Formats: sequence, structure tokens, C-alpha cells
Amino acid sequence: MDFKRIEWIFFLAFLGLNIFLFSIFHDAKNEESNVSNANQKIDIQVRLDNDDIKLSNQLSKESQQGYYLSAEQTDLKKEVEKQRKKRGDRNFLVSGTSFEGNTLTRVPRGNFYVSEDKKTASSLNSFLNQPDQIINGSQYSYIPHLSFADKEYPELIAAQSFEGIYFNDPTSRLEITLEERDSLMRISRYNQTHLHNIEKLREKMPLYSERDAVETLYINNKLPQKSKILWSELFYTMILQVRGKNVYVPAWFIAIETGQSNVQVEVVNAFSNRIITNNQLQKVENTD
Amino acid sequence: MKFIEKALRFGLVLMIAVSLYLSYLIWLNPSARSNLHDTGEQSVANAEKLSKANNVFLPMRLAWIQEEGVKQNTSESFISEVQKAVAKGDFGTAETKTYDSSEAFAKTASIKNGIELSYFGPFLLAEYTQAFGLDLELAQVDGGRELYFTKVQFDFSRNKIRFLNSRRHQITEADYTLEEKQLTALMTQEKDNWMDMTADDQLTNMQFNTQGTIRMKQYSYIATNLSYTLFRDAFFTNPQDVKTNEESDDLVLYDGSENLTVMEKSQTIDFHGRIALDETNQDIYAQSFRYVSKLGTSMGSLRFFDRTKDQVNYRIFVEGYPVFAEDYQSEVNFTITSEGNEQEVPVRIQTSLNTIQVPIPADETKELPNSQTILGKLRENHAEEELIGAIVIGYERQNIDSASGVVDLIPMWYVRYDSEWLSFDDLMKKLQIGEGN
Repeated sequence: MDFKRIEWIFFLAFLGLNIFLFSIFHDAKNEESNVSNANQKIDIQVRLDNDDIKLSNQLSKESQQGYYLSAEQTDLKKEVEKQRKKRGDRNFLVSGTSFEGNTLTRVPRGNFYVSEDKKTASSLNSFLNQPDQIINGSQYSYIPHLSFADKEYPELIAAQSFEGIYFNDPTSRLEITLEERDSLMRISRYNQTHLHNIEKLREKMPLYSERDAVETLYINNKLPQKSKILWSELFYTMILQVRGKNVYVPAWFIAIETGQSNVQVEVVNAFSNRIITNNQLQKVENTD
Repeated sequence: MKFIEKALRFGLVLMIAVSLYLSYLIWLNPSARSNLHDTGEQSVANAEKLSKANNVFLPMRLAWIQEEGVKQNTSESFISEVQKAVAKGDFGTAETKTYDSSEAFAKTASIKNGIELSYFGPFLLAEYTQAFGLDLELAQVDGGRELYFTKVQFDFSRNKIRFLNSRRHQITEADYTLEEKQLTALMTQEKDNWMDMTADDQLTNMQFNTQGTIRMKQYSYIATNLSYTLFRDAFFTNPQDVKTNEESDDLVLYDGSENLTVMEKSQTIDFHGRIALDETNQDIYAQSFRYVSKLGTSMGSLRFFDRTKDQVNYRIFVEGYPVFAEDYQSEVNFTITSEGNEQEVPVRIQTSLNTIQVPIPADETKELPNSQTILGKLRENHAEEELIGAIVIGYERQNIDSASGVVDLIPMWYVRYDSEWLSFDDLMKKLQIGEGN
């Protein structure tokens, strides 16, 4: 082989090598720009649209304010006894009432009906304001998003609130079981838990917005493609039990429909913007 | 024929050179190397909000001065509301006057009717007007880029806004008009958190003294360790390029001239880096704020607390009072020396992974003596008057139960003595030891 031919072979070999190296470099460059794109602030709305994630409402950017709250669980058995003495009525909530822990279960005497339409709140309110049927009923309000979750076993949920934000927690809840009778919904029984001494632990603080919470869920892969956000609402939820008291934080509850009739509710702490859906409740024993 | 031979040889050399250059580019490309990447944490951090300058640089105390007396308030939300309200006024042109003696300064500095917002450490006029959107004409004072102050006064009697620098005996003043009623209505609406004060026996920083004993609430918190990725993302210029060194017990992260060490034992963070200078970050406040802002609200209410020549200190505040603790827990301390060149300056940041997070109920209270009593005791123990810079109520973090992370915050007096913040008890010990020698 003469020197010229070797030169040609080397030339072609290096040309091939350069094409190969350039393609690697080009791919790496693209990958890098994808990474930096992911870190940039692309509008969440655009990201949701790209993944075909639907919203039932426009996401709100409004930053509300909320508190760290402390509250004590009411011993409803003692509370009922106290009410009996106060009213001078020994038979108050005697029949049809049972207690388990701090939960009161009652089958109301008489017929009370509610309707599953725009009048639900007002018809439920008239029941809640009957002092001979329920204690502290007026402190509870109807929460549409949590009610009628199962059509087969219709249930109404009501809860206490603090400065306009409701509690969504088993420690402050009125679960009202309904039964259908002659195309009407009759209250057949209810389970009640109650909080008292609800106090602010700190000054009012700004909260992350609904949009921030949805963005957190999105970037943590909690919103699958083609899913739908059914509703989102700010509630107080318990994060800690300490020294006999409960500590509550405001949190965004976001319901996501991931498949046919498969609804998952994710919870995002509105102070820290961290997902707390499956967090275990932290308990701190008396440290004194 | 000769031409083709030459072209081929040249082409071959060129091809070899290009292949070397491409190899070099691929080698240097960050995505081709293995990086320390925690995608879960990273993505959460993406949704973090930046802290705003009007929260971080909010004045610490508000004094309401009337004929019948002085009242002080430290509530963060209230001061923030007042600060927003005063920004709506009409501002004139600022002028500066320096007084020869402390007597002349003190006489001019006191007002009879108005409100006063104050800081513990000096703050810069240019940064203040920018952070709170004050439309103040600063052309005559060089944009306020060299004017430091610790107090802002809104004098209702003379319709003036004044910035006081008690160390330099300097007052920067401008005309100011705002419906006085609007502000007094805000003051009277606020029912809680007022403390009666007196102008007697003022320190050189012109702070008011508390009148009677003060009953302060004690607080308890759950303290937890934050993820180191929060600090990595806030401090490094290119967090995605950061590499890790796992050879020692301490965690070391580095990229170029930047490095961050997390001490395993104390959980303290020590970051060294360089700040590239541009027209937006010419002073120590703007330089440090860039980092504080990126930390967001994860550490709680982090606010500007004090500064010395090369250091600026941000602290966590609880209900308007600063928290003091060991090992940089509850603070972020910056050392930024001007020894660098015109393009960049070196920065050191010291803080801690461990921070107070969730408040828990506590019913205890503690009674504190008034500030004059504290000053009296210091004088009895021969503290040097000119070294007492400021006196403030703060919360001392006391670790109660390391397993559950419960910490108590105990209120006590803190004194800045010889540029160092010490609790009253510690300062007394120091003074007594000094006397013994």
C-alpha cells in the first residue's frame, strides 16, 4: 500500500469518527437542554395541557392566610352528661345513642330529610340546629366535596371550621348516613367527633396557593397523564399529637380522577408545600 | 495532482483536530458525567417560593409615639401592614445633615407625635426604598447607596420622614404627607402585642426602654433536619453540576470554586463560594439576599437581624422576636469580604440543617425584668456604656428531648456588647470573670 492510499483510509476513518462524535455531542446537548427545561419555570397550565391533565376549575394563584392550630378532642360522653345536667333533662340523647372512644353514634328519633341538590346545605342546617337531636350542631357546616362519595351508600359530611377554613380530619367530623325513602333522603344515623379549645399557636402566616400545590403534585409524579383534577379545597388537618393536644395545619386536599371512577385524594401541607398524603401522625409524649 | 495531495493532508490534519476538539467537548459536558442528583427532593424544591425582600428586611420594632407616651409592637404581620400603608404617602427630596455632638443629635432625633420603625443593625437607604417601594427622591444623596440607618421616623407634627444613624449622628430627612388618621386608625385597630415604653435613660442607639416587667409566653417546637438539597439548590450557582465527596464522615459537595460541607456531628453547614458582581448586587444586603431568597420559607420566618463590617446575619423570628441557639441553628450568617476583584467577591455562609418547624402547645410564661433593670445591673458590673450596642428580648432555643426533637424557646434579654450578641446571664458571667482578673 502506498502512502497516499493510507492517507485516504485515515481521512475517511477520521471523518466517520467525527460524525460519530458529533452525534454523541449533539445528543448530550439536547439532553442537557431538556434537563434545564425541566428546571425552568414553565407555566404549570402548559405542562398540564401537554400531559392531557384536565382541570374542573381554573387554578387559583391567591395566597390565603392560615394558622398552626391546637385543639383538644371532646369527650362526647362527658359532654352529653354535662348537657343533661345543664338542661335538667335526664333523657337527653339517651335512647339511640352509643359511644366508642370520643365518637358518638346516634340514630335520631323522628324523620329528618335532606335532598341531594342545591338545598342540601339548608336542609342539613335545619337538622344541625335542633338542639334536642345533636350537641354543638350549629358549629358544623356541610362540606359538599366530601359528601355523596358513594352513590350506593349516601353520606353527608359536615365539620367544624376556624376563620372560614374547615377541618377535614376524623377528630372533627359529622358523618351522616342517609337512606333513600320515597325518592327522599332520610337521616338514618350519624357519627360525631368534636374539638374544643381551638386556639391559634402562632400568628397568621401566608399559605401556598392552590396552583403551587398542584405544581408540587405534578413535579412529584402524582398527576398521571390523562388524569383529571376533580376538586381542591383548603382544610385543616392534624399533623401532630402532643401533650394531650392535637396540632393542625392548613393543607390542600386535591382529588384526582386517575381512571374510570378511581379517585385519589392527595394532601399538600400549605405552609411547607410538601406532600403529606400518607404521612404517619407523629405523637410526642409528655416531655415535662 | 500535487494540489489534491496537499488538500488531503490538510483535510486529515483538520479531521484529527476536530476529533480531538469534539472529544474534549463531550468530556466537559456536564450531562455526560455522573452527578449527585436527588430527583425527588429536587422537584419539590422547584415548587418552593422565593422569599420576598419586604418580608426579609421588615423592620423589627414599631414604636407609636404620642403625647401621652410611647408604645411598642413587634408583631410581624402588623409591622408589615403599617409598612405597606406608609409607602402610599407622598415623598419629597431627601437631604442629609450630620450633627457635631451626641447631645445635638439626640435632641433633634426625638419626635413628639409619630411612628418609628427600627432595626438592630444598620440598613441601607437605597435597599430600604427598593424593598418597600418608597417613592423617595434620592438624587441629592447619591441614591442612598452610602446612607445607613437603624431607625425610620414618620413625624406627624412636621410631616417628615427621617432616617436616623445614631453612630454617625446623621439624619436624612424628606417631606412626607399621608393622612395621619389612616395610620392612627391602623394603630388603634391593633389591640394586642403593645408594650408600654419610656424614653428615659436611652442607650446611644436611641432605643426605648420597657416600663414595667414583661410577661412573655414560652414556646415549644418540633425541630427537624432539613434536606441538604435545599441548601445545595439555594447556594450553588449550578446545583445540577454539583459533585460529592464521600471520603470523610462529613458530606462535602463541590463544583468549581464553590464547596459546601455538612458537618456530621453538629449538622452545621459551611459554604464557600464567590459572588459575581453586577449593578444589582453592589452591597452586602443584596449580595446575601440572593441566597436567603432562594431558601424560601423552609426555615420559617428568616429576617435580617444585624450586620458588622464584613458580616450580615439573618435569624429566624418567632412572634416578632429573634431566636438564639448554638451551632448556627436558627440563623444564616454571611461573611462577604471586599478583598475580591471588581468582578467577584468571596462569600462564606454558615447555617444549620436543624431548624424549628412545627409549633406545639405550651402554656408556660416567664416574667422578665424591664430593660432599665438590665442596664442597671450591667452598669453595676462595670460594663462599658459605649460597648452596649443594643438590648433586646430574644428566645433561647433549649433542646429538651433529642428523640422527639422537642425544643423549648425561653424568652430572655440579649445584649449586643462589643459587637457580640450575648444573653444577659452570659454577659454578666463574662463581666464578672473580667473583674476577677
